[in-house]
Amino acid sequence: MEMFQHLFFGFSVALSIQNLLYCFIGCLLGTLIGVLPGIGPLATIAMLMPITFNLPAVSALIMLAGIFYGAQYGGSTTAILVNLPGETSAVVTCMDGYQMARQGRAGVALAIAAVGSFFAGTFCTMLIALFGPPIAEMALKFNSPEYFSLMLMGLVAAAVLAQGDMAKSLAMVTLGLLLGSVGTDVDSGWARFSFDIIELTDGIGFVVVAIGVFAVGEIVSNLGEAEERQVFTSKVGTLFPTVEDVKRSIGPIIRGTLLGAFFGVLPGTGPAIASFSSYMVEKKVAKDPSRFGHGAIEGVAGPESANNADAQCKFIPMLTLGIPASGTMALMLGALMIHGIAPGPTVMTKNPDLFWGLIASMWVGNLMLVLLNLPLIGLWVSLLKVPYRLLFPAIMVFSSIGIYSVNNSPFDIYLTAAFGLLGFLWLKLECPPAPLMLGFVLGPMMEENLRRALLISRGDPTIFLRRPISLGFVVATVLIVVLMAAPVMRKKRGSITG
Amino acid sequence: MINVMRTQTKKGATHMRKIYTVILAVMFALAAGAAIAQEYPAKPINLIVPFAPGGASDVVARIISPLMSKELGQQIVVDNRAGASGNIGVAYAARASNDGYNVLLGNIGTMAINPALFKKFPVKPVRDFVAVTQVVDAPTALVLHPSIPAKTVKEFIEYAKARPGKLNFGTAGPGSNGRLEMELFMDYTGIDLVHVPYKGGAGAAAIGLLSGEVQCGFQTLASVITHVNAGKLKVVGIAAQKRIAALPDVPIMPELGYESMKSGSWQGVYVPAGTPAPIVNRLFAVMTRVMADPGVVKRLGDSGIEAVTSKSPEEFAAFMKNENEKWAKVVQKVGVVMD
Amino acid sequence: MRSVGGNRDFWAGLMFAGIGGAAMFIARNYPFGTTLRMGPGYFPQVLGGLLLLFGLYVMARGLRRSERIKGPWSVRALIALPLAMVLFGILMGSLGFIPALAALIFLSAAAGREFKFVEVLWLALLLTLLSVSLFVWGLGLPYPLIKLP
Repeated sequence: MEMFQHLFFGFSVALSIQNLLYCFIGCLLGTLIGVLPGIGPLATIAMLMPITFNLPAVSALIMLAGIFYGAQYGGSTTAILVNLPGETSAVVTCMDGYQMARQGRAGVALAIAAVGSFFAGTFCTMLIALFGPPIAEMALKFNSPEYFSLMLMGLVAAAVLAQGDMAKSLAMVTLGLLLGSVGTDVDSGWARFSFDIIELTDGIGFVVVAIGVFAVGEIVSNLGEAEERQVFTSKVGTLFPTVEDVKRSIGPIIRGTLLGAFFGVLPGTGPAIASFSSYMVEKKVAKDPSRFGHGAIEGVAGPESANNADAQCKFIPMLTLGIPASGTMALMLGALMIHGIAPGPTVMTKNPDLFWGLIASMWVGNLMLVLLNLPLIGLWVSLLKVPYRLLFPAIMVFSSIGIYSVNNSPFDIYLTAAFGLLGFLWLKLECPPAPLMLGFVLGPMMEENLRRALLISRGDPTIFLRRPISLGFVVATVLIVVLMAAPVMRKKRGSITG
Repeated sequence: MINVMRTQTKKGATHMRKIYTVILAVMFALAAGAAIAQEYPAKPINLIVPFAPGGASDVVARIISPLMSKELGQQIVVDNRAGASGNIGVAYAARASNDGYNVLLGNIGTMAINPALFKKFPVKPVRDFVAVTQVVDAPTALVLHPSIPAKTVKEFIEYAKARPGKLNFGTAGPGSNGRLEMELFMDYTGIDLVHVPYKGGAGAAAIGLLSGEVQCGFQTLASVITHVNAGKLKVVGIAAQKRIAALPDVPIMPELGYESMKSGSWQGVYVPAGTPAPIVNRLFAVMTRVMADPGVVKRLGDSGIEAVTSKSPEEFAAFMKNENEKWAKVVQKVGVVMD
Repeated sequence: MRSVGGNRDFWAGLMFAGIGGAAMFIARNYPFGTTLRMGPGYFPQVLGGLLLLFGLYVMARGLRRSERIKGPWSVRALIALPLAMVLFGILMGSLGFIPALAALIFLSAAAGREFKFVEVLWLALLLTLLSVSLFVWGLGLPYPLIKLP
């Protein structure tokens, strides 16, 4: 009962004209930022921070938060339309979303993405309101061994679920892991694979690889088509999902939301993990997994809900314990402190208007985003009707500016060009890029956590088994291998092409 | 008679003309000199921050730049050039034009520790930059996890001495100032702690501390103050010059005998070598006023950062040189090598 | 056996093996450490080795099965697009935003099958205007529009 009182109070704060306005500005900006590749919520929030100094704390936070989760909505838009991931977490949406667009179903994909994200946002708002502090406390139980086991499980699951060509998928995962190791080693300070190029000592940026491989590689490939074939089928179907589409999406949306919430609360996980795992889970539970990669709507519904849930739930550890789960959260934390508010267990009692107002406004923001994005779908889809020869230079422009804007670095552009070439090569040689991206994201984190866990245990490998949560993940990993390997073996023996 | 007089007048006129010319030239020079100093700045100024948006340097830059703009009458553009522990931004700033339109926000890492860590890096801050003034200091604190039953530094040292090699301390990386500070402390006290690095900056190390994975460490006060107030972590000593208002009962390291631990993570303003002195002095005056502004002081203070300015550019240069030497010794002793 | 030239898996495998081998070679001097106390060279060497093995397997499989690389591709696009980006990067630093955009747009358009100059010119004008308003005026990114050398 008290909960509803709090929420009611929160809504009264969130629905003030001023806060509604700031929420709207934040969401609008966030969507715009999300659509543009490269420049992300982190840089935008940093740039806007001085403007918020003269605003009341609640309004400032509402606006900044709006930018943050608004970017998640926007990032999937270009991922679906032109295979250009606007945000790290949108990479997964590229895989089936873009294929749907090519089949004339961009509108459907965008609509489902928006709806799924809204559901996820609503769910997480409730979650934060009801269970915020206990969840954050639980998250603290995750240390290096748990993170490693969790990621190992994810990696193994991905490898085992590899679609089609197992050997090449595994090779791509390995290549991704290897690419992830470029940079300065955390433990020793040793620079690996940096060839004395100073920009490489921090490793290769995810955006660089994603845009190079997905966007640029795709363009090069499209330009090679023999006839002047339409990249996007001119028969653009209905803009709205069919009943069938909706039925298919319900499960993925629910599962994606839960997965995203789980990963969002853990401080040590990165942005793309939620959407990747949702994709893998959906592929596993689908009746016909071969549809994935060719425009399966589940491959959009699940990951999109997951990444929105992930974004919202990242606020939990930050607000309730003062622990930033990511760079952007650290910035939000800084913004709060500048306004004289110290997030932590006391914030719920000392600044209830801030806490509940923010939570209520998150829901309002999600609603605004859906209302903002749905009508825009028509606009976006008509953009696809532009002849490809005019469209692709525009994609190149936005990609290039986006990459450059991350760190004003020409080197990043050169690197993206190189990955464009590689992306094209992999397309032609039919080496799937998704496992590579997964390896690339997980690799560095796995290595770091593994070595740190062993450092803490002073070289004792049983640490992974002695800690209960970690043990759970290890057992799950073994089970996955056993359960998956058996039918695969049977299938291999039975089929001709293997 | 008249002829002689006329000749004399002609000579005198030439003389006078020469003197007038000299006087005029000097006046022009003075005016030009004043004009240069006054015309500056005639266009926006780049404030180069060698770290990504959101980090401590970036936050400081964004807090001070609006007022800097007002004082200088020109827009201050925050230019983030992150990478390689700040070296990319530093290299960029060193090569930038030294006409006062490029200002670097350097910190303890980039200006005092990196020169010792990255021997191959060609930019040497002491040589390639002119120090203008310090702007902030983010005091670092010796933080303990509650599992260590020590309430003072002394108790901690005793506890640690009884368990060599058993306790872990968390840092943001092998070359971070948190690590080097701890190494300095271990050197003073003879205790033996195991270094556990975290990628992801100070935030990640603070999380490790909260969860108990590591039991102690030197962290900036800003990143732990909320947890200290919530009772989740303890601070037993602070590296600062005077006691911190937020934690008045915690002693500062110099009080306990650690004379050289009197500053934390400091930041200061620099310009490339060769920038004219009038511009340096102008910037010094502006920064001193900016850092004294109550709004700026409060905002920084709420983030756990103190506004501190040097008494003169020369004083800051001396401070920086001192820091360079201090950390060079620690780096050499510990044997950290970064490519 | 058909020619190796268009053999998809042969080349895929070769690529993997090549990268894996190169990685092992480059990382040969990184401290290896032990399994329980890994050095910086551990993962790179192990991963490189795995990649090499995968690569050899795929190569062998490719020779056995001989699946072809599908479809034509445009060498023109392959060269022009990366070149356009590289030029953009160079010009951003030297001549400024507008020249960089112009180079990027024209060279990208040249990668396509059709190239109608007037059309591309209009496109360039439109995109440049859009970019400048959005990024420089709107978002305040510090890009000099034109820098005279």
